[in-house]
Amino acid sequence: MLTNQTLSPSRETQGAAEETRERPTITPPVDVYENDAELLLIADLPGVARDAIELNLEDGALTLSARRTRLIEGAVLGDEIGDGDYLRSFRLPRGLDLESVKAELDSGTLKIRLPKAKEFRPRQIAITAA
Amino acid sequence: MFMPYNDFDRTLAVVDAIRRRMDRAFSDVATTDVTRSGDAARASLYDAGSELLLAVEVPGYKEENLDLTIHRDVLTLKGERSLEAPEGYRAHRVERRSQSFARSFKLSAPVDVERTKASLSDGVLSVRMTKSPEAQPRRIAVGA
Repeated sequence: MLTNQTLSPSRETQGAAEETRERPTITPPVDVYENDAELLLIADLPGVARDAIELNLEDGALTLSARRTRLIEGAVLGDEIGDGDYLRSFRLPRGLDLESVKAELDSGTLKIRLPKAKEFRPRQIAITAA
Repeated sequence: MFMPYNDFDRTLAVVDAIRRRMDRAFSDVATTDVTRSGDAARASLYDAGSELLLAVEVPGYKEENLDLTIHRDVLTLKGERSLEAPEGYRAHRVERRSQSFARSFKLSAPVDVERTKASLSDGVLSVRMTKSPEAQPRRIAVGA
């Protein structure tokens, strides 16, 4: 059921100009939750705008990459934030409805909702008296 | 039915953590007299001539979770976020933490507190401080 699919507009990598300097990769902290209806991933991505996030579903894995923009003005007195872009990849379980994945960004926190396919959701069976 | 969640990049995460720690050791130089508690709220400080700019990473924090004060040449930022598992969900992996932090920055120049502006955007707090008149850079005409 997993198809090669791109959820958000994918960055054109073919023929794109390359950075002259390699940018470091940052591993953002991610929580993974599950209930009967969906799998919920929550990632802290400070400094990322909505259109700088890319979610790719490919070969049964979800890859989250996000380009960080930051304002640098004048002389640097101290820098802990540093350059770099976020990258994280998760192998997904079977039984998700990957056509209906939703993501929302709020205050530097990204929520990704991966609904379970109907046939994989638990169902209550009513027992009737004979 | 659901498998444990493996991700491929845990080893990279360790390397990344070490790199950040080293970066931090080098960046806490005398100009930014930084005191900190907790591994939160990474910050960068810039001197843009007439202004000082501070950027702090505070993902998931709202305005009311942050407390910013400037006293003389010391800026203090306190923050607190409490995270709870969403109701009705089982947790498979919890890497984001509730945290509180307090950080102080020694500013390299006195600033005009009245003209200081702070804004929160995409999980980053930006503080823009105008230097006091006596700390403003001035051009001196060179006489003949």
